[in-house]
Amino acid sequence: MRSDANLENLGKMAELLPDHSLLQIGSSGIYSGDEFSIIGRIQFQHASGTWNSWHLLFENGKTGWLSEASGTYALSFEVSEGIPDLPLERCVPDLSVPIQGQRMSVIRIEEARCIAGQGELSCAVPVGKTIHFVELTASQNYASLEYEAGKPTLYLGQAIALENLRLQNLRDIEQTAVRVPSRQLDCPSCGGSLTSRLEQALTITCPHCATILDARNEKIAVLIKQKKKLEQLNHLSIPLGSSGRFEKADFTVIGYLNRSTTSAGVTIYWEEFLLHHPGYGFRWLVCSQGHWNLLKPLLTAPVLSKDYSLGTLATFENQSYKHFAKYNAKINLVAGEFYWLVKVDDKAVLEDYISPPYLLSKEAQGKEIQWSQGEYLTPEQVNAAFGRQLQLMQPQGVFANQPCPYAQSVNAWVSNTLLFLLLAIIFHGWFVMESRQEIVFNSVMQVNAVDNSEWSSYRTLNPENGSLESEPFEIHTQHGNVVIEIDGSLSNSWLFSSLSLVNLQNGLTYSSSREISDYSGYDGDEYWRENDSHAEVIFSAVPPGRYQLQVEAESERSYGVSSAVKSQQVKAVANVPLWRNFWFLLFFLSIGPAIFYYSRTNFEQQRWAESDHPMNT
Amino acid sequence: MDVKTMWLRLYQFTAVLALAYFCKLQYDGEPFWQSDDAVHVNRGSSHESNHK
Repeated sequence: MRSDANLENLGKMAELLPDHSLLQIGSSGIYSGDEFSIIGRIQFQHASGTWNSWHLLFENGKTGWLSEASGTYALSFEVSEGIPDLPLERCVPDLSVPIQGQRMSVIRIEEARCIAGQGELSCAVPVGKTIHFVELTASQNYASLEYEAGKPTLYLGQAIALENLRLQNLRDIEQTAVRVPSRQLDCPSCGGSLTSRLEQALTITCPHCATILDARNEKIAVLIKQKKKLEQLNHLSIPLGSSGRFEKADFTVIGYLNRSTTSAGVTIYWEEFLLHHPGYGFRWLVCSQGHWNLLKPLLTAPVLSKDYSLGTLATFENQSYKHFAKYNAKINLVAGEFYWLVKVDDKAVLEDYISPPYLLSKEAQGKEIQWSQGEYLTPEQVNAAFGRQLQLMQPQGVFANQPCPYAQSVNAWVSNTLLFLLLAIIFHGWFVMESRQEIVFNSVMQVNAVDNSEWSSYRTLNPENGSLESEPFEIHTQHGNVVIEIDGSLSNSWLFSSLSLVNLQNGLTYSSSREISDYSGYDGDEYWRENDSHAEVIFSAVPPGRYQLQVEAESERSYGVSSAVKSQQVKAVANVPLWRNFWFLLFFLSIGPAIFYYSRTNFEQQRWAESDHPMNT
Repeated sequence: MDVKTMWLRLYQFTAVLALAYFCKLQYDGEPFWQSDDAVHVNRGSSHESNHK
């Protein structure tokens, strides 16, 4: 239909509907290094409004088309080879179609009526004729099949942002806004007067009686009444007509939807505000449980893939999004204006993919799949955008694409933890290398009985005594400790030792005491033993010098044992590195990161608890 | 400074203190788990111990 041959200046062949397009005949730009000019335009009308196909003439004589619909753009060229053998009847949303070596996914099947043309176009432009379109995407690649008499024409290209075309000679946004006056209408239900802000509005809700009106024709008709909900609609958190600044442009709130989904008997409600800007098109401001998202409709669809560990992924603009949830949505309330027909109880299937703070949302309704890209906003950001304090609820729980407050500091925590652990290892390694671990005394000490008990076959009430004074020994290290280790050879008895390390030069004395014990026996047929026959004392910060170890031990006669002689090995080691200090330091240094890790994991578990993959963290 | 940065700074501060205290303990050969009253130090001036 959009034949590139036999260009002819048609002038204004039919009445164009006024719109807010920034483009106009005479605009010029650059695509892939080639300059082009806009020389013509065809305007279509379909169920969801109007769209423009701008005819481009490149410097090298090649022609192309720039499709413009609801603020989204695709630049494509007619291709004569590799046209898929795909009957229109077989086309369904999500159908995968191989086109010129790549698999593209059907996102839209529509019929549209050519309503007007302008500028240099083919003379074959059939005003009033209905054309069937099938749109397909694969990432940023875009294809359109136009069916006429059952035969498809293929256009291949890319979805594109206007700013990437370096356009010149555009229409002035303010002027275009003035050129399209708001419409004054009367509600056929209550007779109240309506003002339509959106030229291409197909659905308008009466602010007086909340009736949803079909505005496709000059004579508006009642679509559905929602009288009982008028009170609710008059108290929206963001009033219709409010102006908010997003993406460096002022958008006007023109529509409102209250939607819900029910799962396992639980219904969750959320609100969607439709925003409009004459040049940038439409955006959705969505509020769910106090969490906000600004969604921008996409012309193309992300590439879906399966990952063994991450599940289904959607890749868009080199960013991967994890599948979050698939759910059915229903419209409960409608207010304002929409560029398509909206009714209460309209249903759609939604699917969300997340890469916080971004979100990709797929909405399938009838023969259309609409992808949107959203970014998380806090209530404070929404208030700032509207320049006033709106009555917004506080966020509840963790939302799908809510940025994890800990995510940004993960690298800082990991690097700090590794740094401090490394320092701990280095410092401890130095002390281990530097320690002498010199055995300065090692002897077995006998404790002899002093038996003056009358009941010698039983436990004596009088303790046994023994003492030991070591030969003097030298401690050479300038710092460090002396560790006294005691290992007893006991049988159903205990041994208490008072230990003193005495500097023979200045009388400096370190003293402490330890008790060792070893008990065993039978409880019926079961053998038991409580062995605590090892003890150690650490005298720290012992300066170098000549020392003597003095031990005074006392005990009692062992129960049921005739021998009163007990022995214990006493060993003194100087300058021993303390590993337990090191282990405790590692434990202490790990507490902070452990709390951080727990908080982050807990946040992610709360996020994914609301998804189709609750175990996924 | 936001709360998250504050926690990180607090961690850095306590980690530096812990490392310094660890070095002091290792230098003296002092165990963190041994309470002060487990060992008595008598800084006498005589070469004869008062335990004798």
